Amino acid sequence: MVLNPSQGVVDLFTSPNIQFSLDREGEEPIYRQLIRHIKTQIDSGVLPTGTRLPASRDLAQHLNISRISVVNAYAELRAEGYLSAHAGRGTFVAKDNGGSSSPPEKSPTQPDLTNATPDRSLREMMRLARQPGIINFGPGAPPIELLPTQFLKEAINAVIDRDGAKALGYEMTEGYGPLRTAVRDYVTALGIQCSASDVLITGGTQQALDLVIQALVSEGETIVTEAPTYIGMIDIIQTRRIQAQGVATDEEGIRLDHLENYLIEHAPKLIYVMPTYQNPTGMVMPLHRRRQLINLAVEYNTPILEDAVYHEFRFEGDSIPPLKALDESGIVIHASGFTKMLLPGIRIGYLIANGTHYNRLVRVKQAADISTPGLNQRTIHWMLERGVMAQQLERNNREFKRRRDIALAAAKKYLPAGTKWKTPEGGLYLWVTLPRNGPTAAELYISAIQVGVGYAIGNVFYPQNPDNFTIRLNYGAHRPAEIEEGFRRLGATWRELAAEYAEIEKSPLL
Amino acid sequence: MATIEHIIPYRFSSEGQHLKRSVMRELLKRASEPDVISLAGGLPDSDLLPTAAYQACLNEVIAHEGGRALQYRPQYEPLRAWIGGWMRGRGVDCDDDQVMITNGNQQGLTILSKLFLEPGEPAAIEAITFTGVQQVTVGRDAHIHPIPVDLTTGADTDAIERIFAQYQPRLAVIIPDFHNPLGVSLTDEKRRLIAAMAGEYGVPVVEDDPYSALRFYGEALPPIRAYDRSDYVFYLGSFSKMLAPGLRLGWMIAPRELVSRITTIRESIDLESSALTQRAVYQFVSNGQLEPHLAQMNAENRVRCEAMLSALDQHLGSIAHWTKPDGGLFVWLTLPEAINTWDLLPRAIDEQRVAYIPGSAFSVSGGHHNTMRLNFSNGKPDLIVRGVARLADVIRAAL
Repeated sequence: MVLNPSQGVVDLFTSPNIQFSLDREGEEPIYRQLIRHIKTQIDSGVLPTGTRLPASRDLAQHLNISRISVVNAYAELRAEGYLSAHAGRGTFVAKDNGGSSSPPEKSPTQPDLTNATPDRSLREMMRLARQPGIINFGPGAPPIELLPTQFLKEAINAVIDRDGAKALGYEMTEGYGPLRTAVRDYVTALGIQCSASDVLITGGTQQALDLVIQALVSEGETIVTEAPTYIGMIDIIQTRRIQAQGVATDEEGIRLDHLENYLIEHAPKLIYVMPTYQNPTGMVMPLHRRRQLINLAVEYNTPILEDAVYHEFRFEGDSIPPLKALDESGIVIHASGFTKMLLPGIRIGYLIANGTHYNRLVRVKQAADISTPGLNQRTIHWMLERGVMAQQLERNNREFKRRRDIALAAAKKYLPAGTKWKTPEGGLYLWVTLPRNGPTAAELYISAIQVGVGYAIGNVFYPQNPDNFTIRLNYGAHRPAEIEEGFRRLGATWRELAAEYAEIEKSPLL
Repeated sequence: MATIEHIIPYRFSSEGQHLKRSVMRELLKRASEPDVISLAGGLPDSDLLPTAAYQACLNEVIAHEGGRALQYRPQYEPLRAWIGGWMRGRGVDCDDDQVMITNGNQQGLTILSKLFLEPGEPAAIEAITFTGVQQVTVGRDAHIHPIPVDLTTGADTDAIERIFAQYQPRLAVIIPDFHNPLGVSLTDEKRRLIAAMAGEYGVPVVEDDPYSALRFYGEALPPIRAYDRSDYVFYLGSFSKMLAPGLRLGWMIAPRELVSRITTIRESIDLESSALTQRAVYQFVSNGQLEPHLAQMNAENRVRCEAMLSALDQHLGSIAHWTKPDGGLFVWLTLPEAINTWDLLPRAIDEQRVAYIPGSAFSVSGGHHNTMRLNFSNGKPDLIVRGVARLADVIRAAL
C-alpha cells in the first residue's frame, strides 16, 4: 500500500515529499518498515534536524497501523539517536545526514519550588569538611564510640529469637504496643502524664516534627520558631512551603514579649520550641518562662510543638520538667526520640499528643510511610526494658561533661579575645559568637577547612536575619585531644585572617 | 483531664482534614481474631519470611561495622549499587546514583506527590487502586481523573491518553504488576505506550511496583521505566514484599537532575532510612539469598493461588468471575449486581468467620459494590479452600 502524504500526513511532517510504502503482508514487521522509512528520509535530508514528527497516535491513525508500531519505531529511533523526545512538546529529528545534534532536553515539569529551594550554598560549603583528617565540629551526631553496639546486638537477637517473623511484619501505624507503653512510662518519669494511647512512634524525631507540621499547618501558613532554631525544622518549613517567623531569644529562651506581639498580629498556627539544651544555642528555658509560654499559647489558642530531643542530655544544673509536663490543656505536643541519646541509625522517635491532634497525626503518619520498622521498635523496647537507656545516658553525660570542660578550657585558651559563649549545662553544642572585628563565620570557614577544622556556620540555623558571626561546635562528638587541637587550629586561623582584614581596612581607598 | 476538643477549637490543615480513614488501617486491627479465616491480608505469609537468614545478616553487620552501622549515615552506597544492578537487569537504563533509598513505596509516593502535585491540580490514578495511592493524591486535594482498568490487560491506555491530552495531570500513578487489588498486570505493549505518553505529554508517571518479584507464572516483563526515554517515569520498588514488610525499605529511580531536590525533601521528612537496616538488607541480597527466598515463596504462593482459583471455580463458578494473576498476592472477585460486599462483611466475619476486603474500599469514585479483594498468600491451601467455601455460603445466602 502506498500512502500519499497529501492525504494528511504531509502537513504533520512539514515536508511535501514523504512517501510511506508499508507492506502489510510482508515478513518485515510494520514498525521495522517504519524505522527504515524514517531513517531514509532523515539520512536523505527530507526530514531535517529539528523537524517535529507527528504524535504517535496521529501517525498511527494516518497510516492506519497500530499505535504500538509507531511507539516502538520512535523508541528505537531515539535509541539510535535519530530522534529525540522533548517531553510535552513531541518527538523531533535529532540527526541529519549522519551529523548529530540534539536540542537540549527540557526537564520534567515541576511546581515552582523557589520557596522550597533556599540558598543552600552554605550547607554545600559545609560538605567540604567531609574528608579524612578534618576535625569536624559541624555535624549534630553523637560520637560513635559511645553507641551501645553490644547491647543492640543482644537486643536484636533476643527479639528475633522471641518474636520470629512477627518482628519483620508490619507494625500498627501507632507503633508497637509494648514500646508505646514503655515510652509512656519513660515520659511519665519526666513528669508527663499521659496514657500509652497518646504515644505515636515515628521514624526518628525528624519525622515526628514533620508529621506535626503536616497535620496542623497548611502551605502558606505561618509558624513561630526560636531564632536561631533547629536546622531540620528549617528544612521542613521550606519543603512544606510554610512561613516561619524567628523570634529573638535571650538567656532564658524565646522572648515572650516579642512572641506575644507576633501572636497578636499574625495568628500563627504553631509555636515550635526546644526548651532544654536548645539546638544550636544550648540554652535552657527556666521553669517560670515555661509556664508563661504555655499560658500565652492557651490565651492565643496556638499549639506548641516541644522538641525535647536533648532533654536528657543533662550533666549540670537542675532538671526542669518538659513543657508537656506543665500542660493541663493539651496544647503542647511533645516530640522526642531514641536517636541522639541512644541509637541514631535505628530511627525511632515518638510524639505525645492528645485527642484530636493524635488522631490526625496517626492519619498523616499512615499516609507518610504506613508504620515504623517493627524490628527496630522491638529492639528499642527490649533495651528500654533492661535499663540500657538509663545506663547509656549516665555514661554519655559523664563523658559529655568531660568534653564540655575541655572545650571550654580550649575556647578560653585559643579563641580570640571578644569571643562570646554561654556555658552549656547539657547537650552536645557550644554556641559561639565571634568578635565582630574579624572574619564572619562563613569567611573563616574556608581557611579553617584548609587547616583541618570544620564547624557549623551559624547562619544556617536562622529562619531569617542570621547573625553572621555565630558558629556551632559539637564538642560531644570528639575525643579530648581532638577538641584541644581543633580549637587551637580555629583560633590560629581566625587570628591570621583577622590580621589580613585589618591590613585591608587600613589600606587607603584609592 | 479534659480532652483537647473541649478546650480549643483547632484549625487543621487541609491535608490533615481530608485524609479519610483508610481501610487498611481498620483491617490491621480486625482480621486477626483467631478463628477468622482472613482472605483480607495484604502481605506474604510471615512463615515464609527469611527471619533466621536476616537475623544472621544483622549480626554480621554489627560484628563488622559496629557503631558505624548505628550512626546517622548517608544512603548506603553498596545497597544503591546493588539496586542499580537489579534495575539494569530488568532493562532499566540507570546509574547507581539515580537510586534513592526510601522507607518503602508509600514514602516514595509521598515525596513525588509533594514534588509535583499542588492542591487542586489534576492527577490521574487508576479507578481502583491501593488506598495508599489515594491518600497521597486525594489526600492532597488533587483533582482526580480515574483511569479505568481492564481486568486482563491493565490500565486503559486510551483513557490515559485522553486524560493526559485533555487535562495535563501533574502526576499519574500506575501499578504495573500484580495490581493491588486487581491482581492484573499491564501488557508489554501498554507499558511501552504509557512510557511514550509520559514523555509526549510531559506527565510524570509514578510506577508503583512492590509486587513484580512475586511472579509465579510466565516471564517477567520489563517495568514501564525500561521503556522511558524522557525521564518522565518514576519507578518505585520495595523490599516489603520481596523480603519483609516490617523493614520499611524501598527505593526510587529518579532522573539525575532531580536527585538533589528529592534528597532535600527526604531529609526534611525523616532524614534517612535506618543505617542498620540498609546494611543488613544489603548483606542479605548480596549474599545470593534473595533468589532462593523468592523462588521458595513464589512456589508456595502459586500453590495457594491455584487452590483459591479452583475453590472459586467449584463454589462460585456459576455466579461470579475473577482475575487470574500470574503472581502477587491478590484475586479480584466480581459478584452479581445484587450483592453488596460492604454490607455483607459483618455477616461474613460474625457468622461464617471469614474476612475479605470489599472492593469499593479501593474505588476512587465509588461503585464496585459487588466486588472484593481476596488474598491467597496468607494461609495454607486447605485453609484457603475452606475460606472460599465459607465465603460462598455467605454470598449464596445473600442472593
